Amino acid sequence: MNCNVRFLPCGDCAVTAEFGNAICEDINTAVHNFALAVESLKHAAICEVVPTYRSATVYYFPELISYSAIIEILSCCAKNLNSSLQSSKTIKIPVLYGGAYGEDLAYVAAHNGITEQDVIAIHSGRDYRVFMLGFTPGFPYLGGMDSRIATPRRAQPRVKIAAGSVGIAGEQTGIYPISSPGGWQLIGRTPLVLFDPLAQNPILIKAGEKIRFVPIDEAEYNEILRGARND
Amino acid sequence: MIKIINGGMQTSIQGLGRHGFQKFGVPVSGAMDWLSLALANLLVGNEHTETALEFAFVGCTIRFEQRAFFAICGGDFELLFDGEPIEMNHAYCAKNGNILEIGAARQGCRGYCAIGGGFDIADVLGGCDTYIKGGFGGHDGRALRQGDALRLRAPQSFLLNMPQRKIQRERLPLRKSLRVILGPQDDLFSVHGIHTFLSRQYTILPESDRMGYRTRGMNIEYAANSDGNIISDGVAMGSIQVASGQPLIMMADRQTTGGYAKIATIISADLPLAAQCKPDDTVFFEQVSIESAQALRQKQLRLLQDLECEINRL
Repeated sequence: MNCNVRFLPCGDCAVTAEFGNAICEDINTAVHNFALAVESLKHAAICEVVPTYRSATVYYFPELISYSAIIEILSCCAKNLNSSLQSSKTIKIPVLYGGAYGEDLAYVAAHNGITEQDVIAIHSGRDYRVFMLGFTPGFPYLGGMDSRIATPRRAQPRVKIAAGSVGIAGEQTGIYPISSPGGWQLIGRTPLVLFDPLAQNPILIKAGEKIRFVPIDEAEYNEILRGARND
Repeated sequence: MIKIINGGMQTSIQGLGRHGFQKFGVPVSGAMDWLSLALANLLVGNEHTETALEFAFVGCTIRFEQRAFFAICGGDFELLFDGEPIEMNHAYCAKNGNILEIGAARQGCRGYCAIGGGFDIADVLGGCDTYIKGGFGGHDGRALRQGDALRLRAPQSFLLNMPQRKIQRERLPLRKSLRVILGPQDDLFSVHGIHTFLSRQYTILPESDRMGYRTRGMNIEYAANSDGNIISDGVAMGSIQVASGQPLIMMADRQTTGGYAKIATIISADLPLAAQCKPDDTVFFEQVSIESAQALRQKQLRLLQDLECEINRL
């Protein structure tokens, strides 16, 4: 697949390789495959690569490589990209839906004229592409939520949303990695930890991967929490 | 060991940043003024990258509990060592019981106290920098406060060439002109908008911190087909986002991605100057080419190398 790529300088130490101007899986696939290609060079002058929805920002050391030279290298990486994701790992995210753990589930159901069971079935019924991580460490931007459960943000945001909360805001769904204020409609909570800087594997969900929400009951929720504490 | 007697306004342990984790949403953090950090480290015989105490506006007071060398670089701060004034940009030897008071900034706003041999701090996600908002890195992931004790990793008992361990730094310019490279989204601004950005002055607002600076000035016009919003993408240090027509300068603790159009990026050679800008300062933006920017950076790095040779010359 040949993607039209634009190289945009971000100062003298970074350049963004832009693959399009839309949120769509094909463009995002190009971004992730490009990022992988650049990383696998293990080039001494390249510091890190940050993939986002439709572009990847490459941070480099200008004292080790000129702008024109880095563009040449990145142009090569952008050619002949695979049209499917290299890493298509699907991570299961157990979610305890509704009740005290998903206070807005009833509202989301009523707003869309369906039952709470329907919301759960639709929300957990498909894989979600992780387009990128950002906003806060470990926060996954997910794509592809079914519009049948789309619900506007709460008029009044909550002062505190528990870490692990799964919510809906407009056409998007996501998981709060940390406790924070927010206006998302909360439909459930996962006992998994998305980000722990001191853990062996600090990041649970990575960009370019897929996730699938799996409904669980309170007993399983507590068991997973207990297991996590014992690690 | 050193003990914190007074934490000052915002003192935290910072190095040259946590690299390799932005793709996980983890900010780079690290020193706002990389050059001053590097110079302070140089003066006490450390690697440029060694972590130091970064302080802002009003510094901290520390008590040395063992012999160690220290140097302070950055803006111009009032310094008292056991009650006697000492100089910025100069290495000194402290012994057990000595008290160093870093007071208010007379010029600029940020400074670095480097201690020979660095701190004994465990790294988190590949770096010792403190990410205060995230609560990790550095000392307990937070700003330092009274009572904190910091272990020194490898303090030297002597340092060669003490008389040579001082630097003459230029005064901060009165006119703070920050050189920039246009883009990545300069095409989302009108010709008029870009002209405004490059010719008008902007005032740093009080709602500014290690994440970034809010500024106020003449409205910057977007292009006809843009409302200033973009699909979120990467944000480099020194990026200037324009939200509601006003520039936001992204600094060390900035989020890794952002959804506002970025008109330009401050060149790395001018980030140290940007780091010394404080609320009520006015700044101007001046366009330069990437080649000039990289040449200016090379010049700064060579300056560091030359200084290192000077200091170590027997």
